[in-house]
Amino acid sequence: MSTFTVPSGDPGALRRVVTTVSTLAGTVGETRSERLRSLGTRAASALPAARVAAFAGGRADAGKATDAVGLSLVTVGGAIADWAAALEEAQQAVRGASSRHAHAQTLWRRARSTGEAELERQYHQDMRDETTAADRAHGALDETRRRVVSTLRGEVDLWVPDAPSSIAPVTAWQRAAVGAAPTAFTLDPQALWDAYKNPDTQLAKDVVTKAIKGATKGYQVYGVLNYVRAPSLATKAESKFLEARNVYQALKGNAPDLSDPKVYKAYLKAERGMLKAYVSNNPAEVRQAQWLFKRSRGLLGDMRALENARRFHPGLSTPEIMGRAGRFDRLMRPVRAATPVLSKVLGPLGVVGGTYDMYTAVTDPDLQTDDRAARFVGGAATAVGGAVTTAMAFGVIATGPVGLTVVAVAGVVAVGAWVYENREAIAEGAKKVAGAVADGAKKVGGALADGAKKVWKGLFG
Amino acid sequence: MGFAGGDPRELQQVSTGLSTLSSHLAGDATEIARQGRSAAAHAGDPQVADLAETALAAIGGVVVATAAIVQGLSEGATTAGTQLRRATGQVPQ
Repeated sequence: MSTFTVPSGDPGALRRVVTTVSTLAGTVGETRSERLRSLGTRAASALPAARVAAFAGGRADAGKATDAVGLSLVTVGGAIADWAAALEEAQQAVRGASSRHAHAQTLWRRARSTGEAELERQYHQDMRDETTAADRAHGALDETRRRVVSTLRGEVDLWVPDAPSSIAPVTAWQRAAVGAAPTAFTLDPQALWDAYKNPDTQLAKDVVTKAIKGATKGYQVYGVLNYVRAPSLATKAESKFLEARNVYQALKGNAPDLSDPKVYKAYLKAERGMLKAYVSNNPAEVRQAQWLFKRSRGLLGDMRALENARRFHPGLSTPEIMGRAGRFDRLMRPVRAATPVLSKVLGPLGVVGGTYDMYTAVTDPDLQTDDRAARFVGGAATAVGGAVTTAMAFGVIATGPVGLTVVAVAGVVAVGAWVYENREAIAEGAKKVAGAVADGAKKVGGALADGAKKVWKGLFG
Repeated sequence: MGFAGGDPRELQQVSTGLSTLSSHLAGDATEIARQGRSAAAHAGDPQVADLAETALAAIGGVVVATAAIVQGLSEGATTAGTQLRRATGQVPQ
């Protein structure tokens, strides 16, 4: 490239991109985030108590993603604005230097032809000065390029860790989408590819719909989202995240002048702090594996729980999966040693006991209608929970996050907490619930399994 | 009839709101990717062009995943509302 070649690019068009990206940063990082927060609050007050925590886990994931995306867009927008400004300055400087160099060259030739040695030297020096000015403009642009490239690469690394330096945009789009989605959601790579190559909102929406249809339904979605993000870590990590976010927002609230390198640096630092908090809070495979291990060791015993967790997370080491054993964990060791055996005993007992409750619920003439319904529903949950526990304890079905969630839900319902909370409402519909199974139940005890299925289906989809 | 442990009507409204939010996020993702292409077309320098498009594509991808989570929450809210209605006999089994 010649010294006087004007750098290509359209700073005006780049500024228009920056304006749109800034608007999108506000839309995703604030408007959408705020809407999600408001809907989440409404959901928390409308959901049955047992499901609020799991819903909050999923909402927190989405909320943090929108906040972090808003910040990332601001960073990318800032980098593009930085480049547009440097490009425009370089273009003007090179154009000016080129024009003045051409003029000096004309005068230098004239002076040389007329033999005016002093003028010839002076114009030659002018030519050199303009060449230096053009070189300096290119140098300044190179420096900005390095800074902008580093910032943009940092953003790519953030969303697509370990990406090769030559990763194609469509691949980054696919990998970032798959990496940020919960493991239970299957984002179709081909649909993602189509949505990127042919930008259309409906196509992007199709990707989302397909993912949901392919995912676990109903309550299991909550369970799996909860699995993605271990709730025990949520509070501490969330407060760190909010702290970092406050620093960023305080800076942003003062309408920072991002063209000032010091302000821009402080802004980037605040943003990095926020993103670091986000990433450290992001569900890691290690946490997932530990979640699975801790919850399945009571059913399977330490060794089999470890094997089970390895099956779901083959890339992790034993210490990673087991984590650190705290004091309480050590105290619980004798109990855990007994529970795999107990699971094999209590699981079938749950089926028997639950079935008995269901049977007495429809045959005991002394029961009030609401008590009858409560006993029946609790019995059904105990039976199904017992069946799943038994299957897991004997290794008939995999002890995955969904199965564990079913057992947990069955436990909650079986102790009657949920039923008690809703007992007045249940009383209203009790005749229908009991009526739906009473005929079959009265004929033979074996028909109770059918009834259990009906109630289970009614409760959990 | 009141529900002590949940409110199916409110859940339905929340579900609709979440579904709309998911659609909006999907639209945002598309627009972010489009801006990446535009930045690449006007950047001039090939390295800056490539990275600007890639960075915005990655961010757009994260927004798609977020839209998926929000849609999951929407369908979960619908399911929870339906389960409450069924369990309390408001709709036939």
